Amino acid sequence: MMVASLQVIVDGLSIGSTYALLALGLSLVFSVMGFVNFAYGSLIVWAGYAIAVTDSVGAPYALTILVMVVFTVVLSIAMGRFAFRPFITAPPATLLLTSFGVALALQAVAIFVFGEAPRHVPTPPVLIESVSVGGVRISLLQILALGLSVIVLVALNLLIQRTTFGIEIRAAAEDSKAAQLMGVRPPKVLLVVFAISGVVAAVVAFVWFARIGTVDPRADLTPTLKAFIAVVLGGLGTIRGPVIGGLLLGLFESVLASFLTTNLLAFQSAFAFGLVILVLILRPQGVAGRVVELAK
Amino acid sequence: MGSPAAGRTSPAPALSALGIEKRFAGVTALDGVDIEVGQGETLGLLGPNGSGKTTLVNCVSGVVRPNAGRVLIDGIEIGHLSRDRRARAGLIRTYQNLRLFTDLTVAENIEVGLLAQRGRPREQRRNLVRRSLAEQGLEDVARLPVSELPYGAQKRVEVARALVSEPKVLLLDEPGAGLGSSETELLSEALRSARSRFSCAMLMIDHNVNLIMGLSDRIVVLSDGKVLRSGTPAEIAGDPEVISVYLGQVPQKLPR
Repeated sequence: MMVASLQVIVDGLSIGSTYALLALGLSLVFSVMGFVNFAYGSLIVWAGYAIAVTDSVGAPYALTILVMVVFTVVLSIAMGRFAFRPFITAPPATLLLTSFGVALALQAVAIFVFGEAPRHVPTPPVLIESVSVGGVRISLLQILALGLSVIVLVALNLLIQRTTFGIEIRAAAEDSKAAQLMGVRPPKVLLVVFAISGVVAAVVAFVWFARIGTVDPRADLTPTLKAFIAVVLGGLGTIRGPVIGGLLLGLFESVLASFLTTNLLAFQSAFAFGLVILVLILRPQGVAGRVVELAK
Repeated sequence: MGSPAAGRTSPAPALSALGIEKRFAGVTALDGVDIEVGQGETLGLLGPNGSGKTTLVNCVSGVVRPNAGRVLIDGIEIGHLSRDRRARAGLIRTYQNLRLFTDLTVAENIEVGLLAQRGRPREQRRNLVRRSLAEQGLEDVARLPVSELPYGAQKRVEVARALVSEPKVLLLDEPGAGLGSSETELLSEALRSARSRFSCAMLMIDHNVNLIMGLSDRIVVLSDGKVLRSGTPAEIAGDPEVISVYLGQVPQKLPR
């Protein structure tokens, strides 16, 4: 029993740390621009294709990951530059709709180029082989997922709290007009934020596809939804909100997976959304968030 | 950046706003206003509510676009520049209602004032912020979120943020609003010492006539979007037309 519950916690933390990063990438853009970027999952999908395509020309795994990281960051910056920057002064609703448009467009292009069928994304077996540590089965990938999440979190926290860039981002997030009168360039801040969010997406994509092993054009919805749920659970406006939300969601899923019978397991997402509704009713600002004011 | 070499007189005024017109839905807020502020000079703007003082400051800082007119810094046209580029050209403003970043600490808020100047080494930025904190007596609260400070101290943070970059032109929109007399005295002192240290040009609005009269080299009185009078504080205080339009309760004795 002890070992079984430890297993649930290890699995939950490992998947939860990935959700935490996903949520962080989403909430970063939200806190500066005031909209939920529904095209965020498309970044993950295209990152998967980047790995698959590089692999299909015979590149070694490390190179495929390197290409994927560069490609994802560039795609994220391009998204910010061409899809969102033109609407930088528009109300958040416009940006929200834009993000749906971008998601649809990227999906359509993926279908056109790669077809509907899932493509294989390679993973070195060493990453996913589980070893038993005192009865708890854990893979190198799970340890990597946790470790990478901690590194990204610490780095991001330092960047936001300790650097001039961070001050610029926080100032622009709170009062973009006043910040501009102090010499802050909101368009530049936007691009920096999309670049950072692209790096986070690339890290997520690495863990995500190593675990799943395939990519298809419609796979963007799951990561976007997981990030969205985690953000709602944890709350917006802080770094720890999405992190706590992501870990909670991971643990919740892990617990459900171990206790639910097979025929109920199909409703796992329904349970997750039930939890979201409950949190929204009882504590709308999330478990660890604060009340966020949208731009007037 | 930095101030021009000492002793060299700039041929053009630090700030000129020429022929500024601004209409809001049929209401003419500014009807061809000309002002010039020389380097190191302080110009006080007086006028009843609705005379166009704040609109003029907004036109100069780029918050609103005038329908006509030109804005120049050191003789260089900046009327087409965005707000952030005006800030980087050395034009900084404060707000009537505080516009501090409540999520940031006191020191971070002041550091935002330095964002307009790229390329300053980290150590220099730190020193500037530290000196600025000391000048305003804010060292003890430097690490606190600015929202935890009382109003008077927040006002000092706003002044510190505006002064830290040693701007060429400083626009002060009611810097004394809501301050007690001792706080107003501190404010005057800070502005005077800033002026003597880096001879910035100041354009100032305030309802506190004593504050304006005490600090300004020249006064411009606006009425109905036009310049009614322009002159030294003494000339303005003695002008019968100004008194009838605005200074109904002129101070008995001018503060010196």
